[in-house]
Amino acid sequence: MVPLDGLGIIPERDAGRPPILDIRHLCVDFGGLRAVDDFTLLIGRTEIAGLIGPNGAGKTTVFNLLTNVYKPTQGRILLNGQDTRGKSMHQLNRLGIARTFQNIRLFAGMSVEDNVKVAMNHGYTDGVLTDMFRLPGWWRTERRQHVRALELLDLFNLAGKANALAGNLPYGDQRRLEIVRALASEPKLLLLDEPAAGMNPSETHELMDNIRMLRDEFGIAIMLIEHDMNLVMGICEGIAVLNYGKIIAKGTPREIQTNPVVIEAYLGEEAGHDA
Amino acid sequence: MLFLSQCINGLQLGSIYALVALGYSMVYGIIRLLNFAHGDVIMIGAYIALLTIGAGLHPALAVGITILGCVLISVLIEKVAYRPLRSAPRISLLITAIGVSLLLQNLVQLFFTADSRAYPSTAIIPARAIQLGGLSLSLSTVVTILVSVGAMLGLHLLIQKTRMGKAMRAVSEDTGAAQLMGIDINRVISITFAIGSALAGVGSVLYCCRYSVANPTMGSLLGLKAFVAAVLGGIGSIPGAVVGGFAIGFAEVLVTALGFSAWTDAVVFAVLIVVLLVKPTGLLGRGVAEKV
Repeated sequence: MVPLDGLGIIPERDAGRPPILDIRHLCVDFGGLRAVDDFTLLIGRTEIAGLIGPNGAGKTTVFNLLTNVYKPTQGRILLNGQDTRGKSMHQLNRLGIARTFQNIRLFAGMSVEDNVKVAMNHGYTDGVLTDMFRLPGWWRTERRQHVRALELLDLFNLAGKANALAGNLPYGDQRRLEIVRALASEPKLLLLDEPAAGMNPSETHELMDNIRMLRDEFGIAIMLIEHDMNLVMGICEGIAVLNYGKIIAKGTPREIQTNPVVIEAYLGEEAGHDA
Repeated sequence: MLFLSQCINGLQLGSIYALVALGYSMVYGIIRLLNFAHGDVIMIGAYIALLTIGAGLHPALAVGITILGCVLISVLIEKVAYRPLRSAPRISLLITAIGVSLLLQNLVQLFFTADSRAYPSTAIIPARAIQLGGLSLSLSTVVTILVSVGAMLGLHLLIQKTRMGKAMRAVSEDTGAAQLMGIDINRVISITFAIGSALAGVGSVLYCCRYSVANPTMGSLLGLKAFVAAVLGGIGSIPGAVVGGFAIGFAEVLVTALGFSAWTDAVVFAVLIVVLLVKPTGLLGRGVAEKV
């Protein structure tokens, strides 16, 4: 990891290119409460970054700010060099950001394959008539989407369940399908909100391999919120620790693990002093 | 024989209610709005048909313009009145819908007075009888049933088989997630209003051909009854709207056939009360899961 502009660190291999995500002094107020305060972070093009912190620290709020679910009170976000202010959510998706959700939000009444295909329809380039009357162009797109959807599903061993209803999948598969659906929109930055929640240790281990594979195969950046420290410390290159909406530490897993401020935030003041 | 002809009568009325109820249910499914201006769009359709037929246009062209007019006015209403309130509380949206309904009624009264006008039914569907077995059916009954069933099948295919239909289902299941997957919800919502009001335009022609009269407030009662049909079937549910529409149509015809024609409206609204008491999610509606 190397420093960049004195604002943060990114992996050496990404140093030649501008960061995929450049967040400066981001703040958001809910009523009188400052939920995120002066959040500054850089993420490299192919970095796996972690955002951790105690419950209620504001981690998901940061994701919601990144995807314009909330409007920041101050600060700015550059995604792939473009200011995200004023963009609608679907425009942001087209700029290259996709996400999963802490509480699974699949289209439960649609098939697994359709969940994936829905995320591929950037802009309906075929047009309404082609769509309604299934003109030749419709079949071409359909075949391409079908093949691509199965390829993506296969990465997560879901290809065999392509015709099942998404809502009927077991919990772990639903989490994986959310990742596949997000991937289908061809992101440059993938946000994973507690991807390992509810998974057992062996599933979590497999997930770690999958996340690394996504980074390597697709050359994308991944930012994840996670409480499972084995996962975070095992795959993240840069980690930011959030507490009461403020970044209290940024660094490599090793730096974070030995940072007394982080230990204090997680374990309470006394443990911090003992450490 | 009497029973059978009453059944077909119920089928005719029911299919009109179903067409209108579909518009209610689709819009509710997408943006959780009870679009009380929907009935008035049908009334506008009736006046467009009056004007175009009156101007001597070919009936087929007049019907086409009527449907197109309903689509345009609905999409316009959504853009001007509902879109700015997208993130406002649902109650604001509901009140706006009632406001739009009153606006349309009063605008039409202003230009065409409050008097009822004879609708050129026979210009659109000639008054002819069709013998089917021992049964004598009017052409308008047959056309109404065939056109409605065709429109419903078309809608079903559109929603289940096209990419836009899938996007509509995705938006209806989870608007936020759909947007974050790259779906332009403004486009999906516009198209939903367009499809719902195209069905309303068809419904307008068929309804007016049945009753041969148009007036500025005709949309309120028709709209309310279709709303009851949508709630009965389970608001937000497409098959539910069809089932509800036919159920209300049959109920009305049954009550009339039993000699209580003055009671038809009362029965329809009694159905609403019973549904809300016994099964508020309707016959085919989804249960509302509490978010935790």
